Amino acid sequence: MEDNLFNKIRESEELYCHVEMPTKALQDYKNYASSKASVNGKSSKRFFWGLLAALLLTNGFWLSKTWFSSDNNISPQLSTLQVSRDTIYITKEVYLSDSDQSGLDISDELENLKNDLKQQRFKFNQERVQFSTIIKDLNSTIASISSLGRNSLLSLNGIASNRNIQTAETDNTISLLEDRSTINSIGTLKNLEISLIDYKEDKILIPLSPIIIRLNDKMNIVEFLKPKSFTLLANTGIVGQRSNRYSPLSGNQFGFGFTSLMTQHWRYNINFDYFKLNGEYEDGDVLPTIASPSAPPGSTLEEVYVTQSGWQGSFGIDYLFRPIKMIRPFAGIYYQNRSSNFNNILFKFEKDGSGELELSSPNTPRINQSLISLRVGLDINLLKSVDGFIGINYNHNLSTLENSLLSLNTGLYYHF
Amino acid sequence: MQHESSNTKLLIEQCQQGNQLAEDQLFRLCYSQVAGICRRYSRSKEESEEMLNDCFFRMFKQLDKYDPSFDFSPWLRKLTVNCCLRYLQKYKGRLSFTEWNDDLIDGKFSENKLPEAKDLNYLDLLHGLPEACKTIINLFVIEGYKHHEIAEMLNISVGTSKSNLHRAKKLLYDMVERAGKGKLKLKSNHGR
Repeated sequence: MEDNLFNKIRESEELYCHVEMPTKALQDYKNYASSKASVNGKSSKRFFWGLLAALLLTNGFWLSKTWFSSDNNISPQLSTLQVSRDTIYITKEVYLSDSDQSGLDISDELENLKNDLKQQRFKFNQERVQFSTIIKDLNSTIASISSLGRNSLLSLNGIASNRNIQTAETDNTISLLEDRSTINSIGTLKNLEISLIDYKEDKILIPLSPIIIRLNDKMNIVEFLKPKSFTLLANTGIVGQRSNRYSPLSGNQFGFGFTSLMTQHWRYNINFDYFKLNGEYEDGDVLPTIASPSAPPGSTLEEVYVTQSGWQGSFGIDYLFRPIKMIRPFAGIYYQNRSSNFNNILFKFEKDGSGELELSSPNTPRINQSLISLRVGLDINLLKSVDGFIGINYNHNLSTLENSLLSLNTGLYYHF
Repeated sequence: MQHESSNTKLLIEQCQQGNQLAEDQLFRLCYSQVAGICRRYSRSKEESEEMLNDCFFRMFKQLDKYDPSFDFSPWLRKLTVNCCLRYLQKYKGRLSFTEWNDDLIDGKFSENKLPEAKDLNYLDLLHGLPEACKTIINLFVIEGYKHHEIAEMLNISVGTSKSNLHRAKKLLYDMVERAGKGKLKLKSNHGR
């Protein structure tokens, strides 16, 4: 009996399951799907904006908290201690506050500290580390010093902005700064009983009148120019040559080069490129240093087909605008020397009534040109040791103020 | 859709590649099957259409996961049923299951001969059942799921599934009897 009922239901299902499709069903579904997709898109956007708002709120809360804390300091000023090393530049912010020591000039002592740091000969290994790692490392080095129960605070905050800094040397420097003996080397502070306390122990007293020390360690030109890192690059691109008198030539180029950072913003660049240009001129006389063959009797020069190829070497400097970001715009200026020759010059004459005549010009002399090159582009961090770049070069001929070249290049850097 | 032709497979392949015309064609091809299932689980025509659109939306979204080595029709049927259940579960009051005490249900059913399916559309009777009972009947009788499978799908116990099926039968027999006596006016919520 039960089965009978179920069978009847199944039979009904078979009998009445067919449903005619209304004409507007497909359109209804499409409307539904598009609205659903739109809602999903809105959800994603809403999530993004929500996340952004949450981050901003968190950041705002943190900032206001920091602001409130710093507000308790009377006229806090920033003092900077820049320590230069072979490959690193670390900026230290030193806050020193002590109500009893207000107005005390300890710049000489800090100069001593700087010299002490300089005298340390660290052997640095060339190793690239991420900027975030450095920040993390340095943030963990905040040290506090209290003396004799008086309200004093010395905190060392480190911010390093050179992305080619090494972890090891950072640690060394930090340990040096944290070391009691180094701090004791500051003459004025020697008289105070200084003890390092754990930041987490919450024993830091609010400073009342900070003493500000500003100390900038200026790099000399030798240190500035000294290569700090080494990068190999390979590039390829398209190039076009334009002259006031010639028809445009177009072609391509490829090459290799080396870059080296001087500082986080400045870098050397040496490039060697092979290029090849093709084009046609309407006047054979415009070709520099190449005499046009005399036209056969009764014929006129119609066109000149040329292929120009050669090497160019350039040397210059780039300025990186956002050196620690993933995408880094740059602009540079270069001196460039080009050595090329016209090969396959084909003079095409048209003879009245008897067709065309083609003459090749053999043995064209080599052309040397000096150019000034302006370059803008973007570096893009792809992998740990690999960056890509895309850039536009404008090369201007210094000697004749002609033959300007415009090229679009792309390539890869490999950092050693 | 009973026996898939190579054309259907080709159509699905085209849909997987994002061909809009193929999607329209597949919609037309599958409409009857999907609409039939949605009608059984829904309460009204509007609800059925909403379920149907939702099912097709999910179908096209998940079409990439369909393995062409298996038949499309069972895959679509399972997807549609799951979609309908999900739709019902969105409204918590609609799909609340109670484990009925057997004592409260008369175990004896009418011995009268049941009318033929052509004379009585039993699917219309299902719409007179409580939502939970209707869902169990649909799953057990028409989709062919076992009690333990239904329990797993609906996150209920096997006993609950059985007792709801038993209750559904009882109510259905009552409805059939009343319909035979003309005391029950059958109406379809779907404009059949």
